[in-house]
Amino acid sequence: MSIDIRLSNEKLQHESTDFSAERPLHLVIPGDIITREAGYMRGHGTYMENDVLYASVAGCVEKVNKLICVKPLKSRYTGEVGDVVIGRIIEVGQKRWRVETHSKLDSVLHLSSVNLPGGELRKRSEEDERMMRNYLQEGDLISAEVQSVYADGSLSLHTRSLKYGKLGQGSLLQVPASLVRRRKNHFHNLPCGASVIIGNNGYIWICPTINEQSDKTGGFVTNYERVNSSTREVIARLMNCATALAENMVVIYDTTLLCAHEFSLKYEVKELIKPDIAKEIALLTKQKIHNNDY
Amino acid sequence: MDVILSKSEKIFLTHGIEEGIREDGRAPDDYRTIDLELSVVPNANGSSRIKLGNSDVLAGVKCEIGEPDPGRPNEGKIIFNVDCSANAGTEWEGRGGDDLEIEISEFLSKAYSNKSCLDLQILGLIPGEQCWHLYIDVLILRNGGNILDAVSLAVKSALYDTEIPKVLIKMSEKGQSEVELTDNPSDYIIMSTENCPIFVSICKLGKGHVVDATAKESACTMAKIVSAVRKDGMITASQKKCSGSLQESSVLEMYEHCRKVGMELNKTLISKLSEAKNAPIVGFLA
Repeated sequence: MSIDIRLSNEKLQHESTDFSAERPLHLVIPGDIITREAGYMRGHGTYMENDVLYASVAGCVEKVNKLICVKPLKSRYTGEVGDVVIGRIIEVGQKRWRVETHSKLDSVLHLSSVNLPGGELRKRSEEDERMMRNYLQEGDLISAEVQSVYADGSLSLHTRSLKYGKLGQGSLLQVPASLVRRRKNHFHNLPCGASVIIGNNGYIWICPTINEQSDKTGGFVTNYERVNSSTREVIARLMNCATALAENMVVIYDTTLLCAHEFSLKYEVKELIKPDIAKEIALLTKQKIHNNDY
Repeated sequence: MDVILSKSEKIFLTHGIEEGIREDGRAPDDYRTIDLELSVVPNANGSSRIKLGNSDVLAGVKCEIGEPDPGRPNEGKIIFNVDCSANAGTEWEGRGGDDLEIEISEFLSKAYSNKSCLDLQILGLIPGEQCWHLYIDVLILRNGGNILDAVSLAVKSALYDTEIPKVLIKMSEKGQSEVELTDNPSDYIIMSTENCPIFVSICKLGKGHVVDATAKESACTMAKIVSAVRKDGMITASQKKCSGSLQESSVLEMYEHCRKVGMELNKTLISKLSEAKNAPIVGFLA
């Protein structure tokens, strides 16, 4: 049994050293002046007052020609076509599922944009419409790709590839979407013995290793077998590493996750949820990434 | 609690608990790190803030002079009030948190109604006429699972922090007694909180049971037993929650577990409280 009570000021003593570092210039908080120069265009996350451009959210400044935007550090996910996302079915509707993807509006998955079990391409019959809840029901998790973005910002998803589809056993973790780096591949079979899907929407799925050939069934064959305890421990460790990275605002992609996993090996899995150990691992990872310049 | 999980996620979680490896690597009877701070609200007579993992609870104690209950003329009163902040989750918006608020405050009153928990005699001023009323207000700022345990820890800590001003009782010319507060702010009394109970919630998932369940774990809990445990292991109140039923053997096993964990938790908290009393105040803006 472990019960760990600490005082809030102990935490502060550990953290106070961090404030010595100067804030990078491109990071702003609401009310910061971005520029006094005229001729810039006001983008998202900014406002103009007396010809001075201010930030209205906390985040980093992005400049495209004359357009200045502030990309918030913590916000709902704004989708882009081609993004890999993880979502949860929250409603089965007429020829579509409503999916929660941590964006401002719920996303939709049309019956016509899923691979149905059995055949690659076949006509969707009325039978399929009635069977929709048998394929995906409320609460199910899916991995999918953004097919299109509607005018109001809501997303339409598709799972028309065998790598997408329903997710089986594993753990879901939510991190700020701005911490996930866009990469060519978001599906990783990590050498430490687990698979992760790092969704662009900030949802991270960690599960037992997926076998390339036999397991890619689009998720319609669910496996309820017991996961052995060593795999379970690896999943828990990765989960805690990802939480540690997210809490200390370190970018998350396969390399950082593996780095953090490597640094975490000297601790027991349950020690990783302690805030100071989590912080240490995140800082080590940050340093290593910085030095190697990935 | 607004967590939905898919069937396979539930199975993964439950199997893990049966094997003794939880989702975040904890063993079944491990707590998450508890952050404790006292005197966070300067206007209250006593206050505390507890962070248990992602759960965040603020408790404050306010003393007021009022009339005692006719049945207990020599004793003061404690009144619990719980408020679920709508910031903690959309399910608590508007009147959404009302049921939970009432449930928690009722359970707190029940747990503290045992005479051995808190010496209410010390709160009596003029028998039958005036006594101290302690308003204990709990604000739930964030819900990350296991709210009840966090609330009880916050209440106990806030009571520990409470300083009740000393009063002088004078006889007026008409022969009536009058209450007068002292001018000296450092003249106060402190209640003994050693025996205040702490809630221990034990959730049954599959064949195993766990303490300090996260929001996800509570979403797949079949049955849950919450007990108010004193430092000597006595249980002053208890409650069963969730829809599942329990067999007698597992009930007894869970109670024994509650007592064991509760005693340990009490011991750790009591030893930390004296340290916390003199610690500098960090507050909310740190």
